[in-house]
Amino acid sequence: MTKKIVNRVLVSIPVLIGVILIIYVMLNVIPGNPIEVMMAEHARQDVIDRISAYYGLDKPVWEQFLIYLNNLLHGDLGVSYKLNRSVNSLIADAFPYTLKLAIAAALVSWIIGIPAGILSAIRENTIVDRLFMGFSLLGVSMPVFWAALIFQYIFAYRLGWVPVSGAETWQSYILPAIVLGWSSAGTIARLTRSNLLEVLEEDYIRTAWAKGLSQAGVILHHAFKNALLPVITMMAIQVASLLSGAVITETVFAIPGIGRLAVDAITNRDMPLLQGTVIFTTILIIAGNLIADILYSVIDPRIREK
Amino acid sequence: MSKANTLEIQHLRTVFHTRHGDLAAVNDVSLTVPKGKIVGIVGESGCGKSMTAMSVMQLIRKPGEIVSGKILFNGEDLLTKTPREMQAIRGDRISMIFQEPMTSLNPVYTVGHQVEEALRIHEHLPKEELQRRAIEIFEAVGIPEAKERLASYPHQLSGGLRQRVMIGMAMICKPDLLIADEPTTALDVTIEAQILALMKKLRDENGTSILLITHNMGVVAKMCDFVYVMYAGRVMEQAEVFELFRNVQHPYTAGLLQSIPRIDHVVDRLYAIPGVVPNLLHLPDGCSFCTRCRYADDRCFSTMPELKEIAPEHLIRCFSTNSALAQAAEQSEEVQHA
Repeated sequence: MTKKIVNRVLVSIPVLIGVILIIYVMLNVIPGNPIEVMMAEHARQDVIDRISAYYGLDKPVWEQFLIYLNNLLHGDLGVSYKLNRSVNSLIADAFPYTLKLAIAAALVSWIIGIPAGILSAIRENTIVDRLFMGFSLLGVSMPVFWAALIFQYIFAYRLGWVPVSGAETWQSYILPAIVLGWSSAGTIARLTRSNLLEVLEEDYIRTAWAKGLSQAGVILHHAFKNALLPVITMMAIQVASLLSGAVITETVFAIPGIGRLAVDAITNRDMPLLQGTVIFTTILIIAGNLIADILYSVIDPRIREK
Repeated sequence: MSKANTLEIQHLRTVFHTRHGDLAAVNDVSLTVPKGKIVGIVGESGCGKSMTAMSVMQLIRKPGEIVSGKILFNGEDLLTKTPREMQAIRGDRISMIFQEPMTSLNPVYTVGHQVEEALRIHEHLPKEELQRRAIEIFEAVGIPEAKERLASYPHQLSGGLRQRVMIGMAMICKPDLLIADEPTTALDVTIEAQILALMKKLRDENGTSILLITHNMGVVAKMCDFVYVMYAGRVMEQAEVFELFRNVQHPYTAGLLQSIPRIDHVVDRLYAIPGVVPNLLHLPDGCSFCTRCRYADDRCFSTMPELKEIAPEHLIRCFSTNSALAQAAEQSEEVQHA
């Protein structure tokens, strides 16, 4: 088991290096000197040259990449052009906001999505099922920015229950967590339902009934664990993507998280900051998949042995 | 109803409500399993034998429904029990094993957990006692290294071992009735012989009555005390096993027996009953076997024959009797001479 995990971690390393290379190439084929873009039109050429040299932009691209890679190995993501602060500290400042939002949204998604999926499966093709599936379809199909605005209007502006935006109090996270969580809950509920319905047809479920188990025993003990595998994959992907910053939600609700940081970096052509946030989120997504893989083995003995 | 019968099914009718109309999977079936006996139900796929078993367990799923009849178990009608009372009976007083040992065990739990669970649901015992009983039943069903095997997952065991686990799980509460739904169909013949011998041994030791569902006449001959032959949801012939093989009366049963390939006869073509099982939604007006029966006359096409006794405890649902037998015998002669 430990050996398997170590192997899996080692396999992730080349993936990470590949991703870094691709990101670096993509961001550097964009034409134009970012310093020139940032400076006012009539900036003097010698000033531009001096600042470019300060950031190492006068060197050939391959050399810049090696320097960047070397710094990365030492855990240094570079310095933001625009804010003149280390990318590490900018991400460290932004991440707690994103983390709080992600946890809140994931909780909303699981606490609603999984029970809704189970209930829909048990009450297949009844009003309960239709209602839950309707709600989850709505959650999946509503554009996040639209739902966010409607929620802000109703619950913050009209009813005044929660702040419109910001991240000062825990109440400010309620609306964004619901907006984000609803759409993930929809996916989770549909996936839980369809997998559970499939598993309920299995022979071992008939065996469980024949043993004299109650409905709760059959479904929660025997069926749910088998239906959970694909749901876990989806949950891991969702958490990783929530942690990488919900760009739209953070923007609409003015939450200074990773998503906002990335948007600002794009707007300002702040290459080190953009690279930093993308690499950071890549690591999170790789880690998310790794955790999903490990959970697979914990749940299913057949996978554990391979 | 005598106390000597573990199970007595009376005029059971189980119907599936489909879009095209009601379909009677089990149609007016009456059947008795005396205490300590092995009773067989034989028939082709779709004849209602498994549905009869599932009706006894009351595990018929929608759109299926038991519409009438009685299922007397130790004298009490199971159809009047509440779902909770049925839960207490299932796995404890009546247990069931299935055709597919490969898929009938839950892949994510150890077999020990699954066997102990069957006991834990019905008897509140401390953990050590559960384990002790599980080891004991594993030894009784012939699983080598019983203690170590408790920690195995189903995929680590062979088909024969898995079926032994299933039998162990079914027998751990010492039920009065074991329903075995084609328990050896998925196994090869040597394992089949072992599993059948095991079931017989458990019956002899515990006095468990067994309702054995099979399509294999060889298994019937080896195992059963009494046999019911089903076709299209109805019992066509019922008799004590020696009587049935010695004095087969119903053309359908005769056809089934004739279909068994024999190793000591050379034939060009194996015998098969002509035609196919009729669609249960469009049964003929008369006898449901009439379309495939070579002896059918006008009466057979218009009226469903009732079960009638033609010898002590030997009932058939057919108008013609000895003529059918004579002709069937003649025919099997022909096959032998061919």
